[in-house]
Amino acid sequence: MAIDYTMPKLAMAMNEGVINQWLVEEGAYVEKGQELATVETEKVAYDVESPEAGYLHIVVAEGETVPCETLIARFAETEAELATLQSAGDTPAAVAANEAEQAAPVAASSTPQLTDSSARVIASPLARRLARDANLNLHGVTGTGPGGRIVKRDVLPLLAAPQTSDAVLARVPFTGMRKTIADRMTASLQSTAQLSGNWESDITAMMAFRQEYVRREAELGTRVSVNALIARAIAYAIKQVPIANSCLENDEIVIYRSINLGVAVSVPGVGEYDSGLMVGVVHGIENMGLAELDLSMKAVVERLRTGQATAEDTSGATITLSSTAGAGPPGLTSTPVLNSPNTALVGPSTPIERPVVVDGEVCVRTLMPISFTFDHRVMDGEPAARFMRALHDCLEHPELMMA
Amino acid sequence: MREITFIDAIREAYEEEMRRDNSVFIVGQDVRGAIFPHTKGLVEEFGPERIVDTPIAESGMYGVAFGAAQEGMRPVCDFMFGGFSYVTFSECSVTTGQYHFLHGSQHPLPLVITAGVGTGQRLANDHAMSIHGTFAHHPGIKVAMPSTPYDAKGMFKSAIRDNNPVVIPWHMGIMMLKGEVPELGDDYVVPLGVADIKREGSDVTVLANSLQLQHALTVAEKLAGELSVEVIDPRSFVPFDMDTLLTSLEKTNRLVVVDEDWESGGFAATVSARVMEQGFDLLDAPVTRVTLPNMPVPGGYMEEYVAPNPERIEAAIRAVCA
Repeated sequence: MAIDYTMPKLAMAMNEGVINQWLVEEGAYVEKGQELATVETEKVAYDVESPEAGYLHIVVAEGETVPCETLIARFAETEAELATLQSAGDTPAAVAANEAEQAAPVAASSTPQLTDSSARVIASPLARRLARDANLNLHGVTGTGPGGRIVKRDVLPLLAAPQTSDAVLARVPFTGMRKTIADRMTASLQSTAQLSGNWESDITAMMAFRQEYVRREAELGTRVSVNALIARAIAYAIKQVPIANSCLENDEIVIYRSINLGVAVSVPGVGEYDSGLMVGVVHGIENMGLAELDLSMKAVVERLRTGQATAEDTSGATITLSSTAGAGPPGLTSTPVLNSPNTALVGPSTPIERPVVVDGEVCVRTLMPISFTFDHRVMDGEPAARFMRALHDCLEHPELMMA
Repeated sequence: MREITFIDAIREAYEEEMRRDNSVFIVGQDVRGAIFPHTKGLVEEFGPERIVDTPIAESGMYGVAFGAAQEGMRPVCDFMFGGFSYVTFSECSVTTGQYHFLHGSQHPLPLVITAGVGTGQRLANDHAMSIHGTFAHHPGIKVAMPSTPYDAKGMFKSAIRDNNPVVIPWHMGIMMLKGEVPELGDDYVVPLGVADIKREGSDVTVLANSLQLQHALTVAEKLAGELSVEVIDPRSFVPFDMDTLLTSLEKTNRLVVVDEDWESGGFAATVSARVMEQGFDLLDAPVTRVTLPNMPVPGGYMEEYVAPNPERIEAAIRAVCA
């Protein structure tokens, strides 16, 4: 009996994948665990390992994009069976018919092993020079030369047009990461019912609380950041209002037990004027102490910025933290866009000193502006308000972080 | 302009240079009887003292040329077939090339070595091989090969007037090729060391010489409209006009080197290496060579299965343009 192999779901946010390359020829015998194909998602390229042994019959050709769980290949037990598969010729219709009866067991049996792959860019010397001169990264550029080599014609469309006019400072190709960000932002705004609440929390006590950690930087092995404290406060608020830690997936709202905190990280874009944005994910923050949380966040950010991110580092967020603290003006209020499919996003910004009435006296306190964006399809105003209240409470009373 | 054959163009160069300069003479085997017509009728005009036949003894024959050049004469030594020059190879490559250096640059050695070379006549082995790559390996010798009647006359005249030893074989496959040449008495020369763009193009550069140049031009014409092929004739292998080639590659970014010589250690390999060293960032595809495989050139009809031809050149062009 031939075993089906479907496009693996390599990350929670992965809906489709591109088969960049079959690493095994049609009809060849593969061992279980042998590298089978390079699959690319919006973020990363993976080498997937064969979950089965058998003669490989390729159904989906290189370069094609297919949704997760789509049949992409089959493993035949014998050469005779391979011949039958090859002569049958899987069509998309046949695949669809197969899927209904086989999808569930197949998905379980063919969960692939992931191997980290920093695929070598194959490009001609000229293409490399053109890219270097234009400060272009060739990663992710599709090569149309022999063997997928990136050649001049693949790079030219990405280059800024000749500066014939003084009016144009630069042209940024609307491709690659820029395009991915654009698609996700547009999809988020167009397909959810998101809105933001804004308030200020008095973090004077929290900053004093943090000083105790900063003073013990050597013992703790890290200078605990404000972000780590905010992450703890988010975990506190989620304990009060669990639905904030959820994703809307297909026809279900999935509320997670574990908190995987997505952290928006700015990364370099293309050239001097573009910027980039990635969301790193710190898994299971509810079980971490402040120092461990801080170290984990910093490690993920570092891996993102140096291109060393693993699949886990970029997938599986259940709620997002997007801070403009330090970058934005003091007191900034904003309405950050949801990181779909997350239900909620917390957006702190640069603190501001304000006169505040405490116990009937006016005094100067440090106030942090903060926003909470939520998807009203999933979460109504009452739980959202309770979440904001709980978050505010924890930020103003940092001893609750121990709760 | 009048049209004459390639071989007649060489004879005109001999005639004009021998009339112009009494120190010029030809030494070889059967040059009086003119096995090849580039020496036809010369003995009638210039006499047996300037058209010198020798026994089949290449070392002695070349010794005559070498000694005469040492004494200020300007001999043209005709080996008839290029492969025969290897009989006296130590003298005509090592000793000849290093003579000027070893004498403190005080004694020039103005001699010309020529011979028929190449495929196309189904003569096999040492009657059909090329010698330019082997001579180009040795320092101190200029090496050139004309591809058209115009270049043949102009380059042979330059070779005879040059104060260095010049190896200038001619390709038997284009012996009867006709082409435009200026009127008799129009004293033009084609300088050594200057390549010539025989056809302009923008997609790929093909470097080819002699018979292979003709093949390259045929292919370029065939592909016109689909691929724009620039065809460059190196004309000289030493010194080689790298500037013309690199300028072309700035435009085309792709190079096919056609060289009717064995693949191993040949001129095509040298060009490939130099382009990699000096023009790496110009390349959008690997340099591709079309050469003879490393086997003796077979005789008769088998020759065409070994020699570069338009089909192989076209395949190489398509490969680098893929």
